Amino acid sequence: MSTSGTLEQMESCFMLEREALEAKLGHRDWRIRYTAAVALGDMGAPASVPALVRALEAEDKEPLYSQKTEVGGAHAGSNGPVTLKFPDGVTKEALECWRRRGRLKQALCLALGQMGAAAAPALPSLHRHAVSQDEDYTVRAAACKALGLIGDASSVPALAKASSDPEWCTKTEAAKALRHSDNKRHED
Amino acid sequence: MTDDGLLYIRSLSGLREKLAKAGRDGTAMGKVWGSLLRRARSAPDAYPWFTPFVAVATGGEGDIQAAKRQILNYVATLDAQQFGMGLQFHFWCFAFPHARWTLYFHWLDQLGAWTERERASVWEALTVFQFTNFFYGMRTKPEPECVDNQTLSLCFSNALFGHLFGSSSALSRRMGADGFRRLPGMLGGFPPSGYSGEGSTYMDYVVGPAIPFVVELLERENGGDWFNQALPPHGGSAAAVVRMVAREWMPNGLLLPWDHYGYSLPVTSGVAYGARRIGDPLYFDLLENAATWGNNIGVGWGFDDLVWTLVWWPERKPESTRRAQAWVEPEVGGALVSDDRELYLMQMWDRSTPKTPIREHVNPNALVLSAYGSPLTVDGVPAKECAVFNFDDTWLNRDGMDFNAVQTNFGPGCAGAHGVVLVDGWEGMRVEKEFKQAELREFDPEGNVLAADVTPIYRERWPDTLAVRRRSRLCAERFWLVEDLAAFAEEHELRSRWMLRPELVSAGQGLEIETAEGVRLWLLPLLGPGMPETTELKGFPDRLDCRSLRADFIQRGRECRWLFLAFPHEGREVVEDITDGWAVARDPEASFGFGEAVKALTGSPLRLSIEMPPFLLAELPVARRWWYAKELRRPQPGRWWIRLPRGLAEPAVWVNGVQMDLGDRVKLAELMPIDIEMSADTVVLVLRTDTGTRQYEEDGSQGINSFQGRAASLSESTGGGSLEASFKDGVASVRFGRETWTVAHELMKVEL
Repeated sequence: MSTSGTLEQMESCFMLEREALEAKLGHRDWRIRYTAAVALGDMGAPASVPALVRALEAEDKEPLYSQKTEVGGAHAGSNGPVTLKFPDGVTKEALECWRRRGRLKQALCLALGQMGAAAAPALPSLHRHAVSQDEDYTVRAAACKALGLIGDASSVPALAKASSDPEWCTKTEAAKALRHSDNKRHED
Repeated sequence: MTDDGLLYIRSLSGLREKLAKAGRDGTAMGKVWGSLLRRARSAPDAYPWFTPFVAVATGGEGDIQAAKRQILNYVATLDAQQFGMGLQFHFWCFAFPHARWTLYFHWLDQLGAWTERERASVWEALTVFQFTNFFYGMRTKPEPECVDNQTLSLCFSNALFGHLFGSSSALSRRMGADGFRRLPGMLGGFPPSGYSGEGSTYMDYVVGPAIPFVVELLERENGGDWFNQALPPHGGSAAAVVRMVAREWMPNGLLLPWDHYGYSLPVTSGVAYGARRIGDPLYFDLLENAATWGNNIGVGWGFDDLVWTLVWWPERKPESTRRAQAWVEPEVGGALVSDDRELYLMQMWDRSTPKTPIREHVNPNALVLSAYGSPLTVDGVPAKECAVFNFDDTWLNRDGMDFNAVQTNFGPGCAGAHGVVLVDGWEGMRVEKEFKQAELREFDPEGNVLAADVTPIYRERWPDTLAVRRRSRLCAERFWLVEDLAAFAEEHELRSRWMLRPELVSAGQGLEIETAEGVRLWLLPLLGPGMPETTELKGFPDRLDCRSLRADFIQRGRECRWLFLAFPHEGREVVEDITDGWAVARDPEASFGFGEAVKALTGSPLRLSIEMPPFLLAELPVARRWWYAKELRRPQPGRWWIRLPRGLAEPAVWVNGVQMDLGDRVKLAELMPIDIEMSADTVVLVLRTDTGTRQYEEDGSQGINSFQGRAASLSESTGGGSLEASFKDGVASVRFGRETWTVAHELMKVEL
């Protein structure tokens, strides 16, 4: 038994400077990219917005949701042996996409939200993610939450649409974001 | 942590002494510990969830190695989990067990069980998986709005990592920061009643068992009392949740069929924690006299309920013997219980989910009735093939639950699937917006009266609604009076619906049913329409008898009233306990025919109680199929039955060499003791039953349960007779056989 070093690199993300963290958004291992996005969100440095937007755009091009059927998988909590049967021709890259689905996108959306108004350049992408039924609800909900934190009036149509999303987390975040936007407009 | 450093175990030496003493004294706790130890040692791969506790409780090298192997087996599944629909779309179900496997890793670490390399490798695997799946999952759940079993599980798992590893891991600190921030809001986000609204199954199987983990963690991290204090935003408390978990345990040994999933068998760890922290004799009574210890029920998606029961179960019992009986929660419902706990009525008016009531059903003033250990009403969900509640207006596309969208029908959550008043035939009745749907009007635990007003839920759809109310009474410790009132400004068709267990004995002026346990219920309308419209529903519920009887008492008008006499009668009584002294034979390959089984039984030296599977009682091999035989005699003249323990799996019975047709009772046996009528004066009864032998089946699904209970001979009870009843001038008069009762009953008024 040995360690892979992944954890060590993930741990280090919470000790890096902004530029180094932004560089980690391009790491080949999505777990490191995911951790870097979380850490950048915590840092809340507006200067990171372009890097986060670029990472979100890059993730948009990945076949994250190309798994269409069960290939096996363990029951919750079970420690019994598991047999997976993948379709012929599936690549390692595709399997990495199947493992992560919307995880990195969620972290990027939430990090952008944590930048507040400085994340305005990300609005078109966030609007798209908030309402796209091609995204997992984990991403739609995160995009709605981010839009609420950014609080830009241009988000109202997307949020209004998302507030009738069939999924509860998404519509709850959208409704809350709309209330935030309302409050902010009244304050302004 | 203890002086020994094991989180949640206050004193390792104290735990070991407690278990050893319980074993020596032969107490219920001792029996549970003995059966758990036997299973963990004889079949560790079949009972992986028991092994870490056994390692801790014994400190034996063999037990420690067995536990290590189970944890390593779990770690080996992590990558594969990511390709399953379960982890990707139901991540909370994986978070709670992951937290406990991690806790067990920590326990073994404190025992010095891991090498440095093993420790680093396992810790890395567990932590990376936690962060990329369950930190992610927790951040999906809206804060503070989302308060349920799912978010509780996610927040707990992240807080646990922070607590265990935060001192040396920035990643764990980060998870812990969010988890700990949200946990108080989870407890405080529950309603003051303690009922999460998710149905008794989720309350009992996830929320209840999670509470001790959360409370003990918060107390360790922050100090103070996190059990009793009411917390913001809603004033919920851990104590209220634990109290509600105990209240969901009916005197008939089942969980309330509340909201979703229907009748189930209770688990015990939440109740054991209630015994420790609240100390009411009720909790001890449930543990010592009502629990079924062979259960293989997942709590929080793991199979360590017995482990945590043993951890929390206090040695010292309270001196008082007072037991909680009737209860009410103004926002939720209440129960009336006879002093002997034989008659039980629960009336519910809990909030239902607007638009799509999937978990939180529309059940304004629905009743659960149980008498003499036998459930009389049904609730829950239908079997998959049963479309009786697939109403036209209740179809829904559910995205995010699978790789592709799934179409489902939420009709079973709507009013038409419940014993409530229906208006103008709208069975898909549900609410559209959030508002206060109901209100308690009366609760008198001494006078045994319970009433609630559910007008608002009707008024949303029918603005002319003036009043819809139900008032239930337990009278003379012997029967119930149930009054329904439905008043509108305009005329409507109104039906008071009842969902009852089979069999229908007769219908005319009211109806009469008899359950498989021989309990009769007469439902006689003393006011309102006498002739019900009855329909047998095959496949509803998906358990118990797998069918039910729907009875609608229909009238048309502006002010409609029903007054029902619900009169139960125990048709059979136990006359002899026949639990001990059965010949027992193991069927190792589950291959015996009757003839081979008889040979095996004849040659078997084993004479055991039928109370639990043999390998839970004694040092015997774990096996799925067992055969029992015993010669029995008619205990007294008249009809007689044999009652077998609860939880038999795929039972088959031969009487004097002839196989009986058990029909519905094969399925019923999973939840209830089953009765089989005998005809001859002397019989040799041969029973074949399967029982749980592992926590997971070969395909990874939950293993079957084990049986438990006393076996008995029953005779027809005395004191039966015909029932006559009337209501005149505010007095209900009831005559049953030679007994008579008169009860003053003032009808509800329509107050505007």
